Amino acid sequence: MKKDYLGKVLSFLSVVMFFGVFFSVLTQIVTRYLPVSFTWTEELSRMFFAAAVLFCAPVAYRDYEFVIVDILIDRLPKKVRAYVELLINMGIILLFVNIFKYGIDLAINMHRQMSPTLGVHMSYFFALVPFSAVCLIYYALLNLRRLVKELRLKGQEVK
Amino acid sequence: MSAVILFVSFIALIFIGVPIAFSMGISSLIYLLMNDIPTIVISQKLFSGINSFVLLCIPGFVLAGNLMNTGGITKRIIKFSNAAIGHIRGGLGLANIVASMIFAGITGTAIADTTSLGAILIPAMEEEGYDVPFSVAVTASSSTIGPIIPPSLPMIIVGTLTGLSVSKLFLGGAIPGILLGIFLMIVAYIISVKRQYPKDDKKPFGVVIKTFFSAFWALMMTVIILWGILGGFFTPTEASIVASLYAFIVGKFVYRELEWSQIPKIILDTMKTSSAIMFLVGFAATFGWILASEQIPQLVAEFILSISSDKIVVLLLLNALLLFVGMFMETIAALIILFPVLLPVAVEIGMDPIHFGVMAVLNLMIGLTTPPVGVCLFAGASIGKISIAKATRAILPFLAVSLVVLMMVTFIPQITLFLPNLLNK
Repeated sequence: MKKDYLGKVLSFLSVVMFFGVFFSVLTQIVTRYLPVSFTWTEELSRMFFAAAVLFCAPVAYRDYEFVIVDILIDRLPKKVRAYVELLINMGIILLFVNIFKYGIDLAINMHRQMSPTLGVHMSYFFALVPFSAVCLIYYALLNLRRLVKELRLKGQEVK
Repeated sequence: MSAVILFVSFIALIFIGVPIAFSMGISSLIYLLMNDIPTIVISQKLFSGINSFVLLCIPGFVLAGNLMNTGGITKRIIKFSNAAIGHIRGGLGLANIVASMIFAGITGTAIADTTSLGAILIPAMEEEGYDVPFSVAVTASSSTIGPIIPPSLPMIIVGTLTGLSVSKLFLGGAIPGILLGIFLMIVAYIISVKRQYPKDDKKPFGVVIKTFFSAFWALMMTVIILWGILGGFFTPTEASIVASLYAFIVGKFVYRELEWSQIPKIILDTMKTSSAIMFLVGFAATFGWILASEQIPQLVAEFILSISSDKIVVLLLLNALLLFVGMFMETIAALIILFPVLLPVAVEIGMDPIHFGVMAVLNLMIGLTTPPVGVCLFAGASIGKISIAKATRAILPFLAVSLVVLMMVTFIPQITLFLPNLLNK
């Protein structure tokens, strides 16, 4: 299998963002007891957290981390199962194409809005939604390709 | 009609194997398209669901659990529990439950408990001559204590949804959690005596003390977290990050089992679990929004109250509904969708919201050990490499006693409310 560079980059970014969450929350706790207290720590940790989640979700999808109910699908014959999985991935692509399209709209609509304490353009923040969606679509497409290949091989075996 | 389609498509998608989070998203999409409502709602709600300070406790608690396993904390909690009560018949099974109760004071999720303790204890119990299904049943059923004894992720979610005090919810769960632990231990003991499961030699007091000191730093974690939250030094969300930091320091510098090189992988694993949960939360937000706009909460409330206005009957109905949903649905999704729906019913019959919150979480936790979606049962069965059918049979007595505790918690409000009421004084 080819190396998944996208997965590596997303994983790296997610871990870095998590460190951001970790240290901004610690700063928040510590500065509560110091004469200087920062008002922006809550917002910063929220931003880091949302970014960490959005970067990592496609990797989680790739690695089957999303909870599924497999009592039925596990009992299907392999070929039927592949067709069902094909359908599932298409449904997921449809959902995330919608999220991608409107995520871009949201990011554009937000171009005037600044975050309250940090003064960051909310557009950048919202743009992570369509970015995450497009990465997830990429992995769903890879799944589709694998499933089509599997089905073709099965077809040839039958012949 | 369109609400029916929402439900039917959601259930159908789940059963053909679409991840639960995406099933919510896709069924919401279908609903919105059918009703000509702009589908931008999904992106909006997904973002606002993820953009939450309170919920960043999810990676915090997951990370604390992961660090505890790698850093040798889990191992020491088990050793101490076994040294303390291993000499009783079925001792390792009982130690499993005690370890779960201690572990519960740290992590706040049930599945973390099953996988962490199960990975060590199920093989260990098998080696000592326990039946594997029994070991799986003990591990899975005791892990549901985790989110009842504070700190607790589901209780934080309940607090976020309703504005109830998380500290009071935490305190409310303490006695029910301990009660559940004791009842499970009684069942495990009776079965152990019947089947003549092994017991360890009684450890000299010195050895017990030694394992206590070895586990001391691990045990202190519970104390620090609860002291910090209840004393108002940090919020429950912040507590999760403090717990991770503490687990890291103990694992790295006290027990010295944690390597720097392991940290990125541990964090990535944590984030993978957390982002899957957060997407679930994000899609559940749209789903919940649709339910609210269809006035489903009011309909359900009216329906339940139309069956009976008798408090006992309504309580039984609420329990039945929550248990049923808990069997099928992921805890957090179930809470987001169902809790705001059922809370008005509970308040209507004069129930304290904190009491209802604890009861609801207990119901959903019991659901985690019942098929078809009992994730703890599944996780335990897969660690023990046994079929779900075998695990299900073995868990029945534990399930029965959990239901007894549930009934006690339901009908004796003082069990839940005694500690939170102290906070009022």
